[in-house]
Amino acid sequence: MESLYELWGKRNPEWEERYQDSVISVFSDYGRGVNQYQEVRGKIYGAGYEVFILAFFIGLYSNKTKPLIEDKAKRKHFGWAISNWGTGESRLGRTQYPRLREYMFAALIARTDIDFIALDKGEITQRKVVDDLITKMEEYANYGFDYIQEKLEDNPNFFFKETAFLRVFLGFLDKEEDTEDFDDVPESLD
Amino acid sequence: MIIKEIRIKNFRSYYGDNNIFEFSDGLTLILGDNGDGKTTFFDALQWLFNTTIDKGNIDHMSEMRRSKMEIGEKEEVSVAMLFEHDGEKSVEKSFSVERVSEDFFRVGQLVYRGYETFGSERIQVSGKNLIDRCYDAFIQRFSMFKGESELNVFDNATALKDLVDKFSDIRKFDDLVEYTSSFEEKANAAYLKEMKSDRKVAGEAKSLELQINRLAEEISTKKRDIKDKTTSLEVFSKRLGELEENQETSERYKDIQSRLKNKEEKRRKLKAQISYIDYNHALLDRMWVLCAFPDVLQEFKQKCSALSREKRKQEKDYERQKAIEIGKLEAVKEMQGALVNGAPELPWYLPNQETMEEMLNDHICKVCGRPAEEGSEAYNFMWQKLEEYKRHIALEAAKKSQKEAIEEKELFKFGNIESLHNLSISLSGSNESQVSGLVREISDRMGLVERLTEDLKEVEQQIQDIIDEKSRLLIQAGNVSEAILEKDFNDIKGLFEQKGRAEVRLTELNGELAQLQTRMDGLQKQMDALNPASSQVKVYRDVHRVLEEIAKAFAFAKKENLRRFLAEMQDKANGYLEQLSASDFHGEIRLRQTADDSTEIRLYSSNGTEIKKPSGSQLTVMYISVLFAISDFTQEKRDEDYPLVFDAATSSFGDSKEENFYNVIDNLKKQCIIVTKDFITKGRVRFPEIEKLTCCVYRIKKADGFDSKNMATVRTTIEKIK
Repeated sequence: MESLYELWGKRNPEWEERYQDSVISVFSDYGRGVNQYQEVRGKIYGAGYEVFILAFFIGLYSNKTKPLIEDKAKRKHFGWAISNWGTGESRLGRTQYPRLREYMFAALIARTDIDFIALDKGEITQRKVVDDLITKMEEYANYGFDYIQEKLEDNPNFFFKETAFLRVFLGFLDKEEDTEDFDDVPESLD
Repeated sequence: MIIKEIRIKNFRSYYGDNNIFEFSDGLTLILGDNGDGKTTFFDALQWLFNTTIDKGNIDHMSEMRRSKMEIGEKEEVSVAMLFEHDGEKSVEKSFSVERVSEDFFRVGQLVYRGYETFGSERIQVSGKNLIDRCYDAFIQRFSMFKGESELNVFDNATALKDLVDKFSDIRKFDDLVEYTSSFEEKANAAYLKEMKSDRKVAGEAKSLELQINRLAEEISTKKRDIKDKTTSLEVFSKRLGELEENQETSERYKDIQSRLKNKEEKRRKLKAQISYIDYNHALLDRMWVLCAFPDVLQEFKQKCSALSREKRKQEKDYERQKAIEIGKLEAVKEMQGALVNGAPELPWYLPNQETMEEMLNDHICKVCGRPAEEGSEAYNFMWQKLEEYKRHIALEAAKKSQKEAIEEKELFKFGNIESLHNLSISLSGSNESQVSGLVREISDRMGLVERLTEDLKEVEQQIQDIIDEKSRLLIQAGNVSEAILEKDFNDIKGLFEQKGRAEVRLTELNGELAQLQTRMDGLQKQMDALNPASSQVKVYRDVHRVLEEIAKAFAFAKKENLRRFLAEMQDKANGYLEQLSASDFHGEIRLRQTADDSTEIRLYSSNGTEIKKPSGSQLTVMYISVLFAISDFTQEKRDEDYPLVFDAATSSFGDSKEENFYNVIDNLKKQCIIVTKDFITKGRVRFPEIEKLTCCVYRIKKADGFDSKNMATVRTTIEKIK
């Protein structure tokens, strides 16, 4: 019998197509093909799922979800199953991060309302459970995409300071610990 | 030759036919500011004296004149000179230009006209011949100079040889030395030949001659080696002298370069350290994105352990339930019957089915041996006993299967909770402490980067300082390129070593030569000491001795003559040097002969130290002194004077030096034409200083009203101001 983790790994989470231009390809090479030489170098990230992961964690730490648009035609996925995430980046200086998936999975288990007792009793199916996990995942990321897009609309250069993304995540820490170690908002580039 | 008058027509900035300079036989100054036509005046003279060209050149024509020409109009460009050289003579070089169309001008052939005066008659002659005869290219080389840098006429290796050939009698010695040495050789050959035929000393003479010949060969090889070594030593010394001028700069440059390299390396390392971790990539690659994850992880762990606990609890309750049911089953007890007399029955399984069936079949109780007919009480008893037995067996079987069914029943079919719990356990322990340590890791890294960035800033400032220092050094060093400084530093060491080696070798060679000479003298003496029997041989010997002395004398005379010539020229040059420098420090000129027969001009202090780096003005005065000395020689040897023409030769002079310098030249009674921008400050002539001079002064300048961008509006005007 395959485990939930394995089944989850086979999935391709969806995201709203409108974030492709406004967020995903702003930071990654997604949609350009991996081997298009020079112009890809300027991008912060390689694969599109890397932006998805960041968006997911933004939603997770904000503890906010946003349901995806109903219309299936306006959704997309990377065509790259989760179990491959963090294993494909070959750019100089990058290392692989396969174990990050376990933490994402753990977070979904923690935050998704599922009757696992019933699952183990066989009263509900694994498929249904994995569906719920993926939905949760998509909704966290959807919130994250929205968050990033909003920041970009306010200031198109917001994330192009090297520490910007890092400070966003450290910001979640501040809120919880209520310390003033890091600035909440990265300074402007102007 | 004395130049009386120069007339320039439509040559470059000299527009029209009214450009006339008159010259005295002493100093004439032509003053002009930048672009006023000084160099054009000089070029016009050079053009006139150049007898090697035959074609006119439209570029030589006045732009202003050209622009004013109508189509079909013809005009002439010319430079003419009136001069005194065995009577009055004149020469004119010209070419015609015709405007054919708007853009096209037809340029005519060069015409070279000369006139000579014989008595009262003026005869036209070839201008070319006249120039070549009165002011040939050789003299021109020592009399016309453009800028200060051209003054060192001995930079050209053959210049001195030419000069010596022209002005000294050394040339004549060449033939004499050649003759006498060939006489000596012939006499020697004849003498040796006779010697060998002399009965008394033939054997000894032969062996001596052989030895002498061999030795002579060795000596000549040695001498050649010495000459080679001396030449290369001179090359090394000269190069070293040049390098030493840059040495200090070169060393400082080297030092700066090495510091720069050092700092740049440091910068590179710092940059690498700073960019070692890319914050954006680290979010994923180093899982920094998990910095806020510990709380979520706690939730996960708690949920997993609660699930696991709940599942185990439910499982345990279920097991207990099962055990109760099985217990119940087992608790159903058999009620045992009693026999008639109250004694208990045998258990149901005694006797067994097989025994009872056999007894029923045989109609006899095989326990008590009494018959039991079918339908009898005993038979019925046995039959009932058998039925009971069968019921018992069936009951047992049913109970067993019931128990098994209970035991087989499972509450949970799947192990998802266990695998989640396993994941939770694997994410605890060291993995958990890694995740909760991320915040520290990140802040440590950021702190480090901050410090490194500070360091980098400092290093970059230092690099900028060093680069500034380098630029200052290069500016101070003047026209020296970085490549030369780099090369010099490397060269200088190598050259010192090479020079050292050459010196040692030279000393060795000289020692060896001296030894060879001593041996040679010994052999010669032995040879001379031979007393030939024949008086004929003796005569040969004496003739050879006389010729040998004569040859030596001429060789010496030739050398001495050259030495005297140079010494005399040196004396004259030093005389001028003293006059021209007046009260200023001037040192002493030495004309030094080099191994390759050329000559160097060097300046020495009176205590014998060479002045390695004379100032620009010192050099100029030194060269001009030598040129005056040469000019004196020409006058003495050829009985002809010629003018010296300098274009901007004194640009390195200070104001006070200028005035004195011109005064001295003015009093020399030597025709000198100096084109200069001295005595002009901010476009105005400094008249009070001019007043002090006795010479004739011209002021040339651009005519007013020119358009600063249009060359066709520029023309030079000439004004005699004194």
